[in-house]
Amino acid sequence: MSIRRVSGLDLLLAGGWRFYRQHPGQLLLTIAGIALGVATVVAIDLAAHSARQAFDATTQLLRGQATHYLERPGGYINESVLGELRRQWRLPASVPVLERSLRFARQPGRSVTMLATDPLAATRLNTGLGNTESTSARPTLELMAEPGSVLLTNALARELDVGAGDQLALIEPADVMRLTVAGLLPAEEGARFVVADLATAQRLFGRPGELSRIDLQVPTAQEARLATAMASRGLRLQTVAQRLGQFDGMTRSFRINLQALSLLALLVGAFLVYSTVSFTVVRRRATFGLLRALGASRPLIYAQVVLEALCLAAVGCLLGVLFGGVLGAGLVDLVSRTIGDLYLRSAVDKFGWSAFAVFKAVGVASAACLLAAFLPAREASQTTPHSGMQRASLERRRLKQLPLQVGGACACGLGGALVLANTSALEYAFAGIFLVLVAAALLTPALLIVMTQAVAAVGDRADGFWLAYAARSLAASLSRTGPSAAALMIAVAAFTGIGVMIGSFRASVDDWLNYSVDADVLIRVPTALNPSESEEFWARLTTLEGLAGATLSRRTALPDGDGLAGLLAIQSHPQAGRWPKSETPRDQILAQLSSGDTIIVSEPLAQKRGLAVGDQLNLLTPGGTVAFTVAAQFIDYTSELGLAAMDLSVYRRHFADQRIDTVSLHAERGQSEALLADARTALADFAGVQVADAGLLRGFVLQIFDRTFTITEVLRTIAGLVAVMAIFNALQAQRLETRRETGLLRAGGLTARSVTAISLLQTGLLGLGAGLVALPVGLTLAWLLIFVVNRLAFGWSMMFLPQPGVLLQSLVLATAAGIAAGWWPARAQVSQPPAVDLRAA
Amino acid sequence: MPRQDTSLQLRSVTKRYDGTGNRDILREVNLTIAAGDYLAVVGRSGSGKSTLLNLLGGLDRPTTGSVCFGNRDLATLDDPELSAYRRSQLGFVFQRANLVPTLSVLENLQVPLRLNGVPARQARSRSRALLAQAELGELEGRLPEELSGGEQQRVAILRAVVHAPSIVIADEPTGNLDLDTATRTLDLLEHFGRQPGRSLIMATHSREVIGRTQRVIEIRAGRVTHAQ
Repeated sequence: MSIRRVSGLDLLLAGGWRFYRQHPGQLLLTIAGIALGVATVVAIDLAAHSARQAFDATTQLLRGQATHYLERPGGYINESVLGELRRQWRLPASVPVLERSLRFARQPGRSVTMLATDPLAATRLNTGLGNTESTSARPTLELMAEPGSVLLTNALARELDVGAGDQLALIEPADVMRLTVAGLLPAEEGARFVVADLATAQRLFGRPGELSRIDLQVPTAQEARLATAMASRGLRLQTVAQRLGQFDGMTRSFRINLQALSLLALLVGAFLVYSTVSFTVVRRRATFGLLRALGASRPLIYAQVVLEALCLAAVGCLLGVLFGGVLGAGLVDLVSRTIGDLYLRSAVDKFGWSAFAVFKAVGVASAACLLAAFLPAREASQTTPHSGMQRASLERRRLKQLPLQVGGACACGLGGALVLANTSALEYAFAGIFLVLVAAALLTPALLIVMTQAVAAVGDRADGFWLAYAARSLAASLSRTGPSAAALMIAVAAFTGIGVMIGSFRASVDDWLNYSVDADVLIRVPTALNPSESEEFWARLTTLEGLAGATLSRRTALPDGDGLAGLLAIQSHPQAGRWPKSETPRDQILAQLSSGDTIIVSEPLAQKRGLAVGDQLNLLTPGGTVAFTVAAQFIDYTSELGLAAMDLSVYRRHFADQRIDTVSLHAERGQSEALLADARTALADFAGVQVADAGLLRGFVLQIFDRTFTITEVLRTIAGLVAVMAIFNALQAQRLETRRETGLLRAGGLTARSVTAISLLQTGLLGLGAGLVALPVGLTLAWLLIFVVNRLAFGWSMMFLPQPGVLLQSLVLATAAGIAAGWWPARAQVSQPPAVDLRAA
Repeated sequence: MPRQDTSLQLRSVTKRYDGTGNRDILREVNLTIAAGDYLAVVGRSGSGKSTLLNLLGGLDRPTTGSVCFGNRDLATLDDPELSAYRRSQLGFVFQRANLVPTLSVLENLQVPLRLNGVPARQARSRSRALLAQAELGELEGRLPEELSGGEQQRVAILRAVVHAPSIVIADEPTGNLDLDTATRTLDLLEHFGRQPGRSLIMATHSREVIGRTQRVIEIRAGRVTHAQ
């Protein structure tokens, strides 16, 4: 709409601008609300984008001109394959890679990726390993010549404060050797990883003769033949593009959840924007009425409000993008770590901008602002000149709208419930949740009116005149404070819902750990124990003091064609063990597993493959395809990609693999520490064997969990911040609403202290009321996140455990925010003489 | 080009608001106001004076009956037509000045002109000239909150006439003012409001105002009981 074509619009906009200049707090609040919403979306998008770039950068650095990867899903490749590729397949540019993480004593809290390769072979693929800075002319050759030599990226060397020639002690893996910095690798800014010679890494990690993958340059003509030949040996040939696509697929749920949470934050922000925009319109209702009396048409008023909202959105979005950049730079580390913890190791945590992420956030936020402005604009444009100048008409209209609002809420709630009950798509589930939240927001003013009237009735009965007055006055102003109260309610509900969801999930993981890591001592066994070592190893185990029993397990990729899911072959100790966590009794599961070709499947696997109890799953074994019967489902949070488990004896029979990855030792009561110490002593001279405290592992898993949800906690904090802003807005509205009334009371002799007390009572009531409405809404949100979103995204089931602490926190947040935010307006109110309030309209 | 008929006619007008029970604020009112009339509407508080003015000004619609401007029934006009009627034919002065609080005095005066499509520069110069004519030029940059009640009302009067409307409606324009200020305000209203062919309709309790007008109608219990 051209401003020039609409007579007087420029003048009206100038008036609008002056309104905001006269009320800078209002302007600040509105822009901050938009900026906060945009910033959250931008930050999370950019962090996820950066993590993806980090993965690409790491891949690019090491793959050079490689076109393919060869790997064994869930396991390691025997080094002999490399020679076969070079000689029989005539692929000289085949680069062996062993990738593991380690931790330096100088930086115990943070793991670093070690990428080990054959430096000479790597130069054939033109990787980034050739560009090094060192005291030596050929540092990459030093890697080969000097065992324990490594190259560090510049960024990592700066973090650790080391240079060429310095030595580094390790705490993970156990301090087998010290590493010497042979040189620095001028990798991309933010890249933090270690490069080592293959032999060094294999020794360090107890993986002699094993590789994580082989990078290759495969001519197109050879590709299909090579893939078939390798597949028959359990190896998978993937193109670089396929691997990146696989990363996308694996992290999809994580990213969708981040998106959902950022959209939830945006929704909370949008409610804040709606309340502030609608408040500015309601506040100028008399002015709009006057303008209508002077002949301003509806479209003109409409245009003014919408253009104002767009201007606010533009400024808010700009600030939001900038703030989002800062926030995103802080979050990228969290996201990178989470992706590293849950999916793949990436060695770069550099922050980068993405035009798409920014445009998307700005687009969504602008749409939210326009929607937020739409209803107030409609109301403003429909203001009849006569009613616009009468406040009572507004109250009447609001009261008339209440049944409509309640009806709308019912329709939205019903629609949301129907969508949620019938969807299997995550995107529709989010739409359903959105509808449920909108329904709750629409109901909020009506519920608050009922609550305040109840408080007034209590005040009347208890002869509490001022309590009754405060409640009635609050109820009367809800026509104006309603949207802000709804925004507050949504923010507190998000705060509650996310809190309960995280708490429930954590409790579920904690509970599950007691079943899945049910031992006291864990022993990681290198796969390369020779027969005499193996015999000695088992002999020593049987002599350990305080040992009640042992659980043996072997974990590989599920040989079902795509190899993404895992296979656990396990011999759980019948008495001492607790694994698995399932609705089916443990004894029954163990009996079924040991009785034949039977497996149990984790919930994600059952969901992804559509497997139910009694169904069959075909697995490729060296002896051909075998159909395994699903005996039960079990809970497993290790991977959203799924896990199947079978008895170790059945696995050995079908797969001719006698190896063991992990031995879990169950201690007799009160003997766990002694058993741990004894095991460490007994197995100290086995290279590569790692003895760990299972309790520490459980703690470590929970640490990873907490790290994963740190970003969610950040969003929860943002929701809390929005709640405070929303109530501040509501209180401003409330104060303006009761200004004249307050003037009258003070003129009648009420002291400033009493006015402040009444004002704080009202704001506290408003906060508490919104908090009380928010509790069931928050619990519903948590329930939906747990039972609908998480189940659709990951296939996991979780307990629903509303923690009283979280609920109390929400109520305290809402009430305290009400009182705290009410303090300043209350003081401002009594700082002026009553005459000023009496003159106010 | 034939001259436009700017007379106002009320035919059997009844007005009832929601929430007033069965009580009619106005009942079967018939009234004709010819172009150029200077009319006072009197009556007790709550008698329906403001309601009558709102109906004449197209700010409200009658429950039954018709309000005609010339030969057009205002009830048949849609919102854009009613808006156009108000901005081109009418000028309002309310009891409380009702200036746009965020616009300066000069900008307030420009509002009717700009709404009528007068270019900004021309609107500014015409407004400034009118302020000078009323000896209020020194107020042009001030915001309404910086003015006294009398000053606000005088600016509101100028805003009501700046676009040369055919009808000026004033709802107790001196009700909130002291006698001296009220007289000066009334002088200004008469000076600018009474132009050839322009009707001036005023709701008032003031005997001074009643004494100055050509016609007086009294509303009692919703009916026009006395017209002179």
